[in-house]
Amino acid sequence: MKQNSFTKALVAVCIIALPATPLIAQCTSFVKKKCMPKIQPFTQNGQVNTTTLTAGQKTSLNLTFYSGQDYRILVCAQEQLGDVSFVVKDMQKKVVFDSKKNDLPDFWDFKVKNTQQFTIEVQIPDSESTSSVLPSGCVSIMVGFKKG
Amino acid sequence: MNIKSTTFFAAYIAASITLASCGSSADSDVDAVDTANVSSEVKDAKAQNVFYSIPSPIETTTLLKAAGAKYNAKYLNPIENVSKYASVASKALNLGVYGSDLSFTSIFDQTQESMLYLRCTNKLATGLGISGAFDESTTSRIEANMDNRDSLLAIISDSYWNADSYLKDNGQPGVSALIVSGGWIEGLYIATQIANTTKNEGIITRIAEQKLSLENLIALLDSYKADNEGVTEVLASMQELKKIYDAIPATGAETNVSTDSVKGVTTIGNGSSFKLTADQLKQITDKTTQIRNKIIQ
Repeated sequence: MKQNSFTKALVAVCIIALPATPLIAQCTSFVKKKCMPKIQPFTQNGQVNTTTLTAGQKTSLNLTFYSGQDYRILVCAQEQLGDVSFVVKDMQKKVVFDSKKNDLPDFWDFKVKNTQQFTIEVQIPDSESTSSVLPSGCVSIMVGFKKG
Repeated sequence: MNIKSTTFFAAYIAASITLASCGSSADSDVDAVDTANVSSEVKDAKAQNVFYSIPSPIETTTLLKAAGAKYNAKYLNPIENVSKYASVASKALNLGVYGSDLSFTSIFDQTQESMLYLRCTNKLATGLGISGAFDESTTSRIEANMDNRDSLLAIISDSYWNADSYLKDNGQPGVSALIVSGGWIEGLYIATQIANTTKNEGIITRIAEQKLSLENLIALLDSYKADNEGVTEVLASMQELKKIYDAIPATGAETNVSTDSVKGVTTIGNGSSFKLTADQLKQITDKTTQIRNKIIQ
């Protein structure tokens, strides 16, 4: 009886306390091992755009893309988050790329004729589970460039 | 304390120890995060994450070289200055400055100067307590790849990423934003010095295009202004520079997307373009020089 209460309390504390743990630091390891290799042969731009997200949540990145360069946008997410999608929008909010319309790749290679500011919006799918506990994991938006 | 509360307290202590030990192992196996789940209540409480990113000094220097820039050591922050920087903000800003100078010397194949600037970045990174970036290991890797520019640039980019990662993992994103700011202003300073000497239209266009990156940089600094006093000061300087850039109009047509099915290359056409007048170039040059000289003094 006592042991049962202890287990229940332990589980409850874990659920409450987990979001406060330094998951971002653990994501660094994930990004180094799983994402960095996928940016090659492009050179990553040296900035960390990594966060932890839960089912149904969004994140976005704003960045300028220069003419004369080739670019790769890589959206790297842990498997438990499901089919993560992303769109790229120009300054007028017009969608120039939608991963859902392209078989959900995790990267997109392109170049720009004129220097442009784009916003990359990443969407974590809603959970199909009826459980009140939602999947959570690391998501990183990486940008690589190479001379065009 | 009754049995229930004692049990709960014991469980809390046990969980805390477990979680603390997990938290300290940032480089432990990737799967450590795979089991993480949160309650649905937490989902709604979490704010949406918005990132603002700035082109790296390596990218900026690559663009300058492609536009016809030539190497000139007089544009760089003298290495003797490295011992002047004592505060966290000053070290961070000048790590960015020297990192930009390192990118400049490396892209123009200035081997000896690259090693000198690498030592400056090493000293400042060490002073900021950053591990895994611009350190002895980086120096060894760079020495081994001096004849391979692509590898060299990849190593420098990795060092930037490691520094950014270390600072963000350790609750110092504002310091990281200062490094980015120092690197960006040094890149713009070098570009304006070259533009004023050569009147190179390609480089002047690149300077005008920084209007977009400046807006991102200001948004980045604004989000971390509570993190470090130096951020507020740099933010104010960048906002002064933005006033000059605000006078530059954006012209252009709606973007279009085309894909070369043979080469498999997607190109975004049209979009905004920017043009500077001679007076605007002078104003940007003067303000950039003022901000940069304040940083390196």
